[in-house]
Amino acid sequence: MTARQRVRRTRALLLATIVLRALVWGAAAGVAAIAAAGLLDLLVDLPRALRGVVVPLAIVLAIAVVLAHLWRGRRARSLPATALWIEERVPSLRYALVTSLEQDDARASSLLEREVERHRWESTVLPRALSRAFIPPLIAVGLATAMIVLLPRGVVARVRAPRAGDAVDRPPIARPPAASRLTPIAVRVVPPAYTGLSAARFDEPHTIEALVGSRLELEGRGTSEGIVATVGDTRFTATGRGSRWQLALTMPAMPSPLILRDREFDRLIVLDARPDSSPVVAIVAPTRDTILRTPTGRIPIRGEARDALGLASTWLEYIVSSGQGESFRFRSGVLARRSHNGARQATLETTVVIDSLRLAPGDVVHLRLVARDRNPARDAGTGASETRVVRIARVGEYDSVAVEGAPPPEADTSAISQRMLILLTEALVRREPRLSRDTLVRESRAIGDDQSRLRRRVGEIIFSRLTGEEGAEHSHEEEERRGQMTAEELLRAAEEATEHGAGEVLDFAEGESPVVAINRPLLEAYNAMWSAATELNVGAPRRALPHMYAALAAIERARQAERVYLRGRPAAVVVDVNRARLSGKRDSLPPTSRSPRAYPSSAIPAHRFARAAELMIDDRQAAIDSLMLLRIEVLDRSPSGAAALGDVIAALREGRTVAPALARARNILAGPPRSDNGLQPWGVAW
Amino acid sequence: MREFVFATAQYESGDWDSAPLVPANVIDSIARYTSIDVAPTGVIVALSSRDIFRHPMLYLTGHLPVRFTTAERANVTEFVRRGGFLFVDDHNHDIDGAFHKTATEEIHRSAGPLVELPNDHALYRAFFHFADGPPTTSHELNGWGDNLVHKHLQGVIRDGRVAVLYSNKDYSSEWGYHPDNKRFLAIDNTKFAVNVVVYALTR
Amino acid sequence: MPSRDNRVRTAIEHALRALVLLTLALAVWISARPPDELMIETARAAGLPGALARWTLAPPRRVHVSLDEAPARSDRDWLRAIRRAGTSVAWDGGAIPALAIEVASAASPRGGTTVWVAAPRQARVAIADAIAPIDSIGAVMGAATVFAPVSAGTIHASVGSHRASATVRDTLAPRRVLVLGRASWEAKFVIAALEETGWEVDARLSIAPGMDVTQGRDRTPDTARHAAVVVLEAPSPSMGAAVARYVRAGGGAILTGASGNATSLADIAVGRVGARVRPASIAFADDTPRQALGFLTLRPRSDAIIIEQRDGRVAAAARRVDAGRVAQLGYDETWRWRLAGGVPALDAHRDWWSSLVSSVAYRAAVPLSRETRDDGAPLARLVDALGPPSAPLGALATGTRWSPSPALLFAFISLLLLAELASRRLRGAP
Repeated sequence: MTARQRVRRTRALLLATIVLRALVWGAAAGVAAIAAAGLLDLLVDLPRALRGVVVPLAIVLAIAVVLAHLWRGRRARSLPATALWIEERVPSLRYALVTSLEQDDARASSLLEREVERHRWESTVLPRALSRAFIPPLIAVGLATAMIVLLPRGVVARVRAPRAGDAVDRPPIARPPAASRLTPIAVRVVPPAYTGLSAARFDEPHTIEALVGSRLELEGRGTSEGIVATVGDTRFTATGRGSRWQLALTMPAMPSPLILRDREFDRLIVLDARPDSSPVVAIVAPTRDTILRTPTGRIPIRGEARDALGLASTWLEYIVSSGQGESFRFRSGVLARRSHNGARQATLETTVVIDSLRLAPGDVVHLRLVARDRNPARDAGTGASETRVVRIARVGEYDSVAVEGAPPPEADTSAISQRMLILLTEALVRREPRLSRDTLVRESRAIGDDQSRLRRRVGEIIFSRLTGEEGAEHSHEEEERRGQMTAEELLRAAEEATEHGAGEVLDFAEGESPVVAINRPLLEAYNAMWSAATELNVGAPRRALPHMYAALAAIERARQAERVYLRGRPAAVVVDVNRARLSGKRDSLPPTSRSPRAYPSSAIPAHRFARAAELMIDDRQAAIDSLMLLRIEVLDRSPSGAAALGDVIAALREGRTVAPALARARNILAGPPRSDNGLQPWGVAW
Repeated sequence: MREFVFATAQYESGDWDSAPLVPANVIDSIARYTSIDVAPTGVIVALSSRDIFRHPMLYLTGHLPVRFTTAERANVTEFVRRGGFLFVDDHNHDIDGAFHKTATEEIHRSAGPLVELPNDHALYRAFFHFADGPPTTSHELNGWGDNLVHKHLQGVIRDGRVAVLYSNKDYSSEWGYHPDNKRFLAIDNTKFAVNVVVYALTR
Repeated sequence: MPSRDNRVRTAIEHALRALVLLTLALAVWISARPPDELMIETARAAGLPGALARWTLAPPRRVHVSLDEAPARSDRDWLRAIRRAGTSVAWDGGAIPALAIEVASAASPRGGTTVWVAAPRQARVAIADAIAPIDSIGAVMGAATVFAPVSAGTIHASVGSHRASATVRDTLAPRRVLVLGRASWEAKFVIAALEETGWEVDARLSIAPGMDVTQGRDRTPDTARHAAVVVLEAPSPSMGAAVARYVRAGGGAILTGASGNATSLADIAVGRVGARVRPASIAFADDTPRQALGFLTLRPRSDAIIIEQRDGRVAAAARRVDAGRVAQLGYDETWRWRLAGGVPALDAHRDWWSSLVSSVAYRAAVPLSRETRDDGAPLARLVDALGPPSAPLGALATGTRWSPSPALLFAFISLLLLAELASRRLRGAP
């Protein structure tokens, strides 16, 4: 083997050594960084965010160390440099090796080869060099690893994989035996199974927000002996597992304080119970109640339901009421039940086939959409839409036709239009002195045309009701004739047309038939509009106005009549109070006493807030505890007040200035101060 | 208008006007036994209107299912919150009928859960004394209808007071006659109405 | 023979020695000089503590203090002490505002503190307690009243950097309220409003002849038990007489509606009740809710304080009757406000009734044993301690009387002696 070949082999060995050593140093640096962070965490509780960057930082450090070592050993790639490195360690070579690498002369080269041949550095220099290269980094790796092994269990885990709830994994350095076992605490919140939500862990919670029914698992360091928790009147005892104590409880239905006790120590945690809200259901169609003339047809039903945690099922619920007076029968049932498997939102569409409900005239059907979420509790998790009432008209009851899609009442439309025409006419009358006769007649006729159109519309409503035919007034001649009739004549004609005499139905106001009760005012309006249009067409708007006012008043009366008729009106009995006064036989009765009204559950206990505020001056911790209890109490009554109190508590806990948060909480909970510019003569009530 | 005015609640879904003579009969009894100023006629107020806040006591009855509209429900909630007293009577005297099921559900949704009132509740001693709790109606006793005797009334309690009184004893039928006919009764069966009104006025 | 230089230096040394002697003589003279009546010691507020110490060690005949803010209570007392010790103390302080604060706990179960502030007209006064700001108000008429529902510790009123402070010095023993009337919505909701604000209520409501609904054991008013009595209807003559006696003994009464016309209450009534006035508006406005209430007009007595009127017609008035207070309301249907008013009506009705009762309530104060360092009226106290302010001293007179410090004199003498010694040694003299 020539000298060059030997140097090449040595170079390869050196390069491998450099790379390996760099890797070992890198590993040592990374492990040492993690160990140092663990040690630091042991001394000072490092925040989770900071611990989260330790491993990435250790990796970066390791890579940097590796690269640095590789950079330092970069000259080993050169053959002369390797030869020089050997010459340095084998001085007896007297540069024969370096010279042989540079020598081209064959004779001289063989001499040098022989000289080099005499020295076996592979067996002398290299082992020493290798051991010197590897021992320090291996020692470093060993020390760092030993440090990690020696660190208390859990500390490295907190650094390596920090997670919520690992506060209890960090052992205190020197925990006095008498110290409280209530710090640190980790809690695991397991939501009810039906929600499908995953469990979450928290460190050192001051407030635990969770759904009602969630399982709360508290964990702390130390034995379980003597550790108890109370929520309201319920008491929980801790159990032990290894060097930890554990407590499990269920989130109560109302916000409550959880008080943990360990000998003389106690700790307050707010259980902020969040109830599972019921599904929200809205019925989109039909938009309003409906009266059907006959119990046939189909009613499309459409609605929407949503729930924050997922819907279980939806259905359409109906109740059919039959009968009248004091005798009613009821049937109820469910249609179109659908399962939603936890979908947050659902659209419900179905059609009610009226025929299938076997309804009779006078029957009333109540329809509503119902949705249920996945909460298994019997009384929870059901939401319902508004109810739509479908009534089947009784025989002879032709006051209303089937109303689907719920157009606005016709009379209302007329009233609005008539008002507009009146406004236009009044404006024209005001401008009359300034207008020429031609202009006046032209504008007056334009209004008159509108008035005629409106009259025809009212006529259509009346006659379609009376005859059941739309557009029954189309004949111009007939219109002319009707326009000249009095209201009574028209009504008589209407009665004849409907074949229902006024005497048939007597349970309406003033003995009128329903046909007359509703339509008389409209007919009066119709006639008044006729007169108004006539005056307008001859260019006499001032004379038209009284008729127009009469028409508007009649339309208003028609609306009233319709409402009264549809709603019914019980007979009014006027009691002669003076005659009846103290005429009843009243034996001597024992006195009756009143008990004081309880302090309203909805009231904010401002006086307690005042006491807590006083405590802030001298005893910050006591003030925090008082404010926490107060916050629990107002959580459901005043969410904004509870939030403001939370800010005050946080400010107190963190030692920040409390004034802005306190001023806000004070205004919300106790009301803003009342002030007056001056010295009031009598108290502050005015 | 400082006198007590008996107000009947008019709601959208049912036959709210099924007991038109009850107001007059109750008014007559108030005048007959107490010195409370009372208006000679009752009024009807739509449950969805602000008018209900002019009458701190409302009487609600009917046979048909009770389904409040959104406005009615909101009004009832606010009415009760402000201290109003709602007297609901099931005109069917059912135990599980349509009115009962729907009305109790609506009351629960708008005012709070119903609880059984003990038969020694202050309501039964507010004026006349009813040692056995709510007086039984003839419909319960004579087997007319479902032949059920309801032992308790129910109520929504707010701050220790009955805010909603719920009865399925059908007082609406029991008191549904013209007050002039009271003279034909050996025992006035509307005395409990006096207790209800006095309770509402003083508690 | 001494050279010319030596002679000059010797002369300088003599001069230095003479200067030392002169300085010593000056020091002796300064310490021994009698107070000069014409000389005035002056000080500004910032330097007041130092000046006070100096004036205590060497009391001048007269001092004048120019203040840009009121001195601390201790400094003011110190000035007063110096004055008592014989030094004439004058002061000026045109920039100090006439600021004063007084506080008292409200006679209400909900607590709260009433703060009265006097300040220069148009001044903006900031009110704060020991932990946070409470309110800021303009003293348009030179005074302001603030009711703080919750406060803690000392309450301060500030105008700019000037501050006055006060602490509640007593608490009020709780008393009950007696409500007299008949079964009605007004009775029900007045009692409800009071109970819901924490008052304990005794009541007697008639429902039929000889039959009352009662609450509590004490149904006749008594200052030992009752803070106030609310009369909703004309009481019986005997009860009316009891109410009148109670008021004269220091109790408070609220008469509503037509009850003030009762013969038995005539002596204590604030006025006669007249015709009914219809509501001024149909709907309840949140800021003027009682506009939507009808009321019976009051014709108040000459000694009455009118506290609410509408269109010149009196709706509420009050007066003192011997040791007691009576408020009379024309309103007899305030329950409508609670039921039909806007969103805040429920709370507003409660608070109004509670405040009404508080305004007449018998105050059974219990002193609190707490040390305070309040300064409720700094300027007034200053005037009280030092007399009225004098005119500011002119520019010529404001110079401080020359009085070198002993340390300065000592340093100067040391320097002279050192120079003299150095000169001597440098020229080789002993």
